[in-house]
Amino acid sequence: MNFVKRAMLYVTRKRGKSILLLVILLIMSSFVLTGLAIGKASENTQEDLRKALGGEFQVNVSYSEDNPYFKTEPVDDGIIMYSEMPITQKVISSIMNVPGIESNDATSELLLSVDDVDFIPGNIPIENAFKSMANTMIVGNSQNNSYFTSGQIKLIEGKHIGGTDSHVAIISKELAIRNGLSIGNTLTLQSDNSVDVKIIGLFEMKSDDSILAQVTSYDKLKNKIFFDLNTLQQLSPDRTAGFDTVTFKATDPAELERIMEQVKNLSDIDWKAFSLSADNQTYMQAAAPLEKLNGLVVTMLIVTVVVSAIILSLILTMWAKNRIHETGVLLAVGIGKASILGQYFVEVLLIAVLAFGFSFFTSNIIANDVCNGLLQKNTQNTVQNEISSDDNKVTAAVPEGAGGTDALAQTPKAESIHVSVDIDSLIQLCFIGFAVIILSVGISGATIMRLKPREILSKMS
Amino acid sequence: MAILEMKGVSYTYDKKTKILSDVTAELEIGKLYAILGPSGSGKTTLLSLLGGLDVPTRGEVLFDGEDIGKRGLAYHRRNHVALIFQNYNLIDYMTPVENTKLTARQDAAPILERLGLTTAEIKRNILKLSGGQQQRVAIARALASDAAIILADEPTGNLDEDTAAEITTLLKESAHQLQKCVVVVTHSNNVARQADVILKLKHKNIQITEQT
Ligand SMILES: Nc1ncnc2c1ncn2[C@@H]1O[C@H](COP(=O)(O)OP(=O)(O)O)[C@@H](O)[C@H]1O
Ligand SMILES: [Mg+2]
Repeated sequence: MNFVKRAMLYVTRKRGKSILLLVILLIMSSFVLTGLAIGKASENTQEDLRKALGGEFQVNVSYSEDNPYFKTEPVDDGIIMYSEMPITQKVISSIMNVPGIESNDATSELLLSVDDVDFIPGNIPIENAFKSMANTMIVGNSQNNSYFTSGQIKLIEGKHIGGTDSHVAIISKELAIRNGLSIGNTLTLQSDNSVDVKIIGLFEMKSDDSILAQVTSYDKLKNKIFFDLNTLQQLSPDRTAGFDTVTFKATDPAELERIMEQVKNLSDIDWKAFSLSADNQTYMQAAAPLEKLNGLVVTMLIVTVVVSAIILSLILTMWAKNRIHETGVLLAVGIGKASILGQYFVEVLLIAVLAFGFSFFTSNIIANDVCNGLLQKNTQNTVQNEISSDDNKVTAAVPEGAGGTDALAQTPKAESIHVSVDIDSLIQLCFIGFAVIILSVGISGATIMRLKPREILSKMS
Repeated sequence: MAILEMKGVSYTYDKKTKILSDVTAELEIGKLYAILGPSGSGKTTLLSLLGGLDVPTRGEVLFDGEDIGKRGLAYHRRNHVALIFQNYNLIDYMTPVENTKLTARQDAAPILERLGLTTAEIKRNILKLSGGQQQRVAIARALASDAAIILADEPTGNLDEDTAAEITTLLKESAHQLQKCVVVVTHSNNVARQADVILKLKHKNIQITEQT
């Protein structure tokens, strides 16, 4: 008779012990499996958040006295501020060479006149001179532009403005219809020079303007004209053409600091002219409760595993003491110590397999509740903060389409995550469980295995 | 030809108390040996040395001319000897058949039935059998293991006279008919009378008497 057969006899005949052990192992494995599943769900959610929010940093033209290229020019009704050193394509390329940067969104805003275009009126009255003007946007690549990436507007016809495009523009479908324009037609932009641009794409707004929004006609998103950098160069040939703001997106937000450090050390960029700032705030805020949850889960797992190992060792040691007689008999009839220890191990293993199987169902039932219970405790503060800051955003008079408002509203919140126990976690449980069982059986068996057969037999009588 | 030999065997507990001193004896196949002696004289000690449950402080125990330590005591216990105890020492979560199968190299049921257990009894919970029946199971386990040597420590000590006589007969038959070397530690004169050879423990040594 081999040790597996003996183990099976023991487990089936000593039913009270088997059931007790089953219950203990079931509780332990349910805890471990729940912990593993929550940990995994939380990691997945964090991963999703990272993908959704990304980590971003911005390079801005510095409008401070420290910038030697910074210029102010008085005009009729005020002053114009500009920098002789905008963010050129060369600067952008140099930054893009730093590993870990996924894409960039380069923009400049410019208020200029457009010939023969009837703009959609706003609800704030303006002087006549401004009626033929629009707040345009120069883009490096319109596809990466935050208006498009945030979903605020969507390209519904034609194509985006890309890196090498020249003399092209994207306008809103509504503006096009109002002026009988379509893709292929040209617009004439007026600045120092007048430049013709060809319409290559039409966009549509996701939702209509709020009636409450106070906005001038030139600030209306529907009147916005996107065009390329070459066009800007031609509009003001005396100045170096470049962007005001470039937002770079890191592939992994966690890498943001490293990337920025490298960018700051790029020798071919004159940092006196630019400022560098990070924006992974949104991610950090959204991920904070999840990170706390992860910490909790790790603690819970460690505590469960340690407590399990201790309880199991104690119980098995207690039972092993009652089995000294049996062990002596087995040794006396010539059964080896390895075979006896193997039997003890298989006994627990047989029950553990059952318990682990059951725990798949029990933890599936409890995991979601436990997880969201833990998470709620953690998010309460954060969510409150978010709500109040959201309120501020709503009441503040933010010009329409200032970008970011919508993006913030779309921020995924980690208020609840869905936890489901999968096979991967079950396999992990098996590894952890078997390690705990080997340890506990080893500890409990050691007491017996150190005895000599003769001593065991003399202890019997 | 001796199957089991003791050559100058001494045994000392805790390096102080000497129990056996320079014991030499030869045990043969087909004979029933009785070890006699007062309590505490070292009978169980002697038996455990023969059974490979313990090692002599001095001297050697040989099986078939070879020191039993050479292949390891566990090997000796598994292959050469079978032990029978006063308190039966059966595994309580196994039926008689399963207890017999523990180290069996033969079919268990026929042996048990030959020793007088019924078909129903051999599948019963071991604790629901009488002492005599349990000792029969222990003998069956010894026989089924195919070991050439059976070592029994006061096997009839817990049994009534009639049952004891039956068990003694079974042990004697094992020696004579099944060609085993059977060594029985006993206080009983009835058992001693049936033995072929008597080993009497006296002054830490043995006195060998062949009976006819
Ligand atoms: N573990 C032990 N430690 C010390 N002395 C022991 C131990 N076991 C037995 N003894 C002593 O060894 C002597 C022989 O014991 P034993 O062989 O069991 O005698 P018997 O079986 O003849 O009654 C006894 O005096 C006993 O007290
Ligand atoms: Mg004794």
